[in-house]
Amino acid sequence: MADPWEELQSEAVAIVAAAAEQGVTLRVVGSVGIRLHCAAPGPLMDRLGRGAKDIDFIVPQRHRKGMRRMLEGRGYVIDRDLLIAMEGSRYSFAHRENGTEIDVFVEKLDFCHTIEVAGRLAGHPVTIPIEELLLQKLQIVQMTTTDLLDASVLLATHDVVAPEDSGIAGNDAAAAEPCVEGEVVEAGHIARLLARDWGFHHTASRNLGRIRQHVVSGGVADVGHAENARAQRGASRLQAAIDREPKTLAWRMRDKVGERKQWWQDVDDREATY
Amino acid sequence: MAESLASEAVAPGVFSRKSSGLVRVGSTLDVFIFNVGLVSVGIAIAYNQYYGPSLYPGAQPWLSTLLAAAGMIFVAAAFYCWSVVFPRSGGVYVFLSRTINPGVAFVMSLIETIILLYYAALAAGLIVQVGLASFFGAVGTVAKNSTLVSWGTSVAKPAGVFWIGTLIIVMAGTLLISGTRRYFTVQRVLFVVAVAGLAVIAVVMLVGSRSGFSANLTSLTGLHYNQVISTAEKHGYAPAGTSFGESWKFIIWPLLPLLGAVQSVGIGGEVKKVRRSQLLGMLGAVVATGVVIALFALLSNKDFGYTFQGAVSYNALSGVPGGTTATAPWFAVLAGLLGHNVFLSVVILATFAAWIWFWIPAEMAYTTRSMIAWSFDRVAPNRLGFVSETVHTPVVAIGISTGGAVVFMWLIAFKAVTFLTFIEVLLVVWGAVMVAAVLFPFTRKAMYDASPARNFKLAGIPIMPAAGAIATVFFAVMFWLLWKDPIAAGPLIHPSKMPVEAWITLGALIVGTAWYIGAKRYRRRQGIDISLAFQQIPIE
Repeated sequence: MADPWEELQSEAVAIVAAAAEQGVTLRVVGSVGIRLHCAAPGPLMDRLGRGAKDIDFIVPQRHRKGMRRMLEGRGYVIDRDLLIAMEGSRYSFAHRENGTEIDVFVEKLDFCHTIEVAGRLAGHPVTIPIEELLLQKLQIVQMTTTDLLDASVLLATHDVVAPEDSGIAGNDAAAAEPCVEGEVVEAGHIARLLARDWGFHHTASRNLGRIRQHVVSGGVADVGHAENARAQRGASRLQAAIDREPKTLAWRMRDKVGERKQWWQDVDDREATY
Repeated sequence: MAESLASEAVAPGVFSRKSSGLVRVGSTLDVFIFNVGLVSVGIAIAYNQYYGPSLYPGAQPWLSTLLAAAGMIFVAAAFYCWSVVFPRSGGVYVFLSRTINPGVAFVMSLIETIILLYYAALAAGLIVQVGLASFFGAVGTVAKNSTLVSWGTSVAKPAGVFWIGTLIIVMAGTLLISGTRRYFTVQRVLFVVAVAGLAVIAVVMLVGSRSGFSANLTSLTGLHYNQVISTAEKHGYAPAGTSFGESWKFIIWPLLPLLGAVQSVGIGGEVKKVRRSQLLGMLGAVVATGVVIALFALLSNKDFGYTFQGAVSYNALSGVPGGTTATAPWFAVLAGLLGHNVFLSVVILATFAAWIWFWIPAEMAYTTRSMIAWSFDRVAPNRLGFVSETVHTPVVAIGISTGGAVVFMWLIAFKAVTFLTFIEVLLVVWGAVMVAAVLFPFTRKAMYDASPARNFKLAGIPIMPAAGAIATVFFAVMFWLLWKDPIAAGPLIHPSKMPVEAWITLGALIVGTAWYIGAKRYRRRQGIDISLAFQQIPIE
């Protein structure tokens, strides 16, 4: 029996390539995106028993029509319920023969917090940049175990570099091979985004704390001794960079209110609208 | 349900969501505004103060409003239970099709759709008659500008009502086509404007006095306060002291707007945190609007005087010359005179126009959801759920809603359809939903037991069937009051002269039944068993 991850990954890559041929920009996000972004996370995720689900893409607003044509041409059937409910901000498809499910988000990842990706699609040929892949996990208020694993794997396989760093000091270069040569998580980019949004900052900080708490030997997200240490250091370095970043006036005003007011937007289970 | 790390004393493994979650469009505030807008405080105050003291002497609109709101609490409770059992868009069609009978549900929903489109058109007409005509009339009077006053009378004529009303309906359709998110945003902005305007009016009325109003009336219109009353009396108006009996009879007037407080059942699938949103949205709307409308009735009595309101409206309704204002003396006109200030008059009338506007896109939005639900169940053509790739909204359903409302606009403007008779039909449709709420725990026990509604109890009594039973009785009494009241509605079925509403309802009944039977057969020939759709149990 074929490996479900391999099937999803090869289908995702084929779709991105087919889209590009038709002038449509598509990038893979989510767990398939993490595996496709570079080689290192895959084996770790396999070792942790991280299961395959579906393929998530992101598409620029102007390419929605072309994306739909292309996917329908490949045998995917659009979810009419979501089509009406989301009014062009999100699409869902299922393959009429093999049942493969695809979610397509438009320009941004809009869940507990919003991640604008429109201007960052050129950063990688197949997926969104590593920072957005990590943010996609850090924006979740109620992290599941798989979310925690995904975030931990990213930090265990990538160095985190703050703006003032001249190199990758502080990371354990022996723990895992860097994904793309020289690729690092740019803490400055994440810190700048979070310095404008108190709610996102608060959720991401809590999640980085969870990672530090659970990426330990015998913990929920034990990714291996050396990798645990690297993820721990990465999370700490990222948190330090986030804390150092000067905050906007709106951030500071919202900080005074704190947790007294809900700081995330509600994300419901995906049930039918009609 | 996704497992969170709050209960994470678990071994590493796959504890994931079934799929990426969904950020629904409607917040609790949006639901509240949707319902409050559908009550339309503006329409309620206008009707109460115009028709209450004049046609039901002794009826106190504040009391009638509170009585109607008390009954509506049970209706809201029953609808709330339905909305958490079936958190879907499509309104009564969803509830009835999954619990009673799909054919009955479709026919009821079709009739409901027609009625709601009628009321969308009625609101557009009211914007012209109560809003625009009053606006020109009051501002013209206060500014002593005869051109504006003449515009006030011109726009209220049938052609003016039809064309301007149609333009307003098309604007509402265009807003819906631009997307639900934008619609909710516009609604929020207008809500702030409408509430702020209402606060200004309340302040004006609180600091105002009857002597001040009387003086302004004379200086601005040439009418004398006591003369207006005596003229009305000479022409048959009989003032009376407060009467509970008349207030009870008048209850059907404030009921019409208050029925809107539960219509978020139509957008249930688009609402975040459905339990909280629908609870605060429905019950909050009934209570908040009931109190506000009653409060303005009391303020009107304080500043304008109960008898004067009855007399000036009576004179207008009876066409008594020299006994009323140049434009019909709706509440907004009287409040404008009280303010005696052009700017205040503009604020007052813009506020009323904003309140009335809420009805139009909201009623149309409800009907589009019903149509899409029919389409998804394959009872109606797939085309009804067609989504434009340019604007990304269901343009066919919205287009049909807009067209239907324009047809009613024509009927209202040129055929003067009696507007409360349709409420009798709506009470039958919604009454069926209330009866279904009583039966649901028994006829669909497994479904009820698996739903959150099972746990809704008050002093050990299950709320859904209890509220459904009380609401059924309430609707039955309201139906009887409407049937017996020739001023508001009168009998829907009249052997000597069947009203237009009766023919429309009968037509919808026959066409709807034939359509459903035809659709079922047609789909069967396509190899599709549409009854399977009704077995889906969308329980939270």
